[in-house]
Amino acid sequence: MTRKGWSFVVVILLLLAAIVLSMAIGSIKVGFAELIRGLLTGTNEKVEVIRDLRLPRLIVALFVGASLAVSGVLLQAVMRNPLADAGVIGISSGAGLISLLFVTLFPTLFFWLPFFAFLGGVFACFLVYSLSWKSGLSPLRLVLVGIAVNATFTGLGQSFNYRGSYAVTSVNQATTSIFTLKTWTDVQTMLIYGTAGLVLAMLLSSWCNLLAMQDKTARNLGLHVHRARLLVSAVAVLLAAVATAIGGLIAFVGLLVPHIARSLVGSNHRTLIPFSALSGALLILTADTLGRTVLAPTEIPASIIMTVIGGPFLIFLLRRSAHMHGDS
Amino acid sequence: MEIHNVVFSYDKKTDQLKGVSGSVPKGKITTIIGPNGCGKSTLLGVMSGNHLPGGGQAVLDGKAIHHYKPKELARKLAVVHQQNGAPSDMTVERLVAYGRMPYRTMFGGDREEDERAVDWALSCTNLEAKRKLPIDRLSGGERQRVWVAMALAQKTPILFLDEPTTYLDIYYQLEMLEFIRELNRKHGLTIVMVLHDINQAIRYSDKIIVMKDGRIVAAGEPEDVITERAIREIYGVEAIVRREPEAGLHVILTGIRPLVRP
Repeated sequence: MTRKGWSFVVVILLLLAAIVLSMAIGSIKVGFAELIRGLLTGTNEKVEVIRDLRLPRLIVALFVGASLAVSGVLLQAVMRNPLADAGVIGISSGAGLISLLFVTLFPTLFFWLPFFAFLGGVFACFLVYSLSWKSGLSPLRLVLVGIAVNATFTGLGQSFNYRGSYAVTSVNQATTSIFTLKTWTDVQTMLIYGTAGLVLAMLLSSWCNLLAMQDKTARNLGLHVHRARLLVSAVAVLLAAVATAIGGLIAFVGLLVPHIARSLVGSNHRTLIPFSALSGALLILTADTLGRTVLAPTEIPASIIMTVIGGPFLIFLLRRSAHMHGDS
Repeated sequence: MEIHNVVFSYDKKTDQLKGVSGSVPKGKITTIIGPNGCGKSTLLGVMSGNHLPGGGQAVLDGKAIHHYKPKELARKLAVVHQQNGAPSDMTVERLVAYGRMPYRTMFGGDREEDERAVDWALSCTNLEAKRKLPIDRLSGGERQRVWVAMALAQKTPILFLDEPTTYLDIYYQLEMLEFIRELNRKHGLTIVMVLHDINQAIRYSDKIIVMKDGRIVAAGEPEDVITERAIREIYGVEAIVRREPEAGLHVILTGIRPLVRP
């Protein structure tokens, strides 16, 4: 079997193992057989608790990871820039800020939250694009503008959050990513928007392949370049926005996962997108499971774990890309 | 293809094309030459639908280029650009198969036809043995041929090439030009290319279009267009134009005059 095939097999096996482990470990411990039997029959009390508390959290973690990773792949294709990530260039914090405002103003319209998060993400994406476009997108300028946009939105979100004792827990949930207290309603929202985004991403994979070449090459192969770029960006923002609305702000997933995925399965988006989705799911589930077990009963949010891993990784990528563009 | 009074500007201040009119004969090789920055590549960009003209139009089969849908145009006209980029792990075969994108439909398209076109393009460009290799393992000449193969896989009656010989040594330059001539003679492709070397343009073209300062200053058969006076006026270079028994019409550059280009 090829390296590509092996990579898929390994990541799927690891993902299954992580799912089972994540369900089984924690303050309530159950055996594997007990877990399966309980899930099927619904009579085991311990398993019922797991079903209500741990399972929604697990599914949300999987989808958040997959969405963020794929969002990164799409942004990198559109911006032809290996450093583009929804968390780094401010799309997530734009989405987060709008969800924060929305949750405070209309706490009952929870199902529509991702939609408004999407609008926030689109606004941030538009800002980054228009501010860094100078007859082309230079990778480093884009990242710098993105970091500035990100800082602005994060700052606004924090000042909003900080306005005194009024800060309620539901508001906090939208900005930090503790996956605790995720309910089946969250799962439903995540599933609907997340699945839609992931399916669309797969359908757009051949466009992503063409966008990876130069605009004029893609155009002369019959691609509507502007339309393709707009649609792919929209799907990327949708995925990042849903993930942020449900899972909170998590940076670097869209940077780390696609980079490693590319070195394992290559740059063809037909395989890169599904592989990144699986790896992203694995990464966030692992981070969340570690976060809630290592220092139990205290929890470390997955977003903090990702920042700790992701920061150094961004430095590594920046150094490499400085090499790449320095001599050309 | 006809060009009617095309005006184009990148920055809306200075026009790169200042009212260009001309025509490209079907089934022939047409070469555009001229000094740096005269608008050769820009004209090619307008003719291939990459630049929207600010005035006038390029017309193909009775319809303005910018009114074609991208896919429709990509089935009539293929372009080999001067600079190309693709992910380094891309294999020859996959890249050439992108040439079939204009024929893809919602339901996939004709796979057998696609395969035939890719095989044909690879055999034309002599790349069959390398089809599984990633492009960064190829030599410069081979890599340039891959991009030509991709354009050929589009199976268009018209092929544009923007400076197809840049970055190649003289062996591969001649190989590329011979190959382009063969495409024209054998398969009847209409060829439009931009070249720097006047002698190569004379040798391999049926028609030469000479540009200067965003205008076409001369067009016609090589013998009529390339004269000592023309070269002095266009490039500011002294030259002897001579007919030699083996090389045919030939230009020998002898010196330069003080540069009076804008």
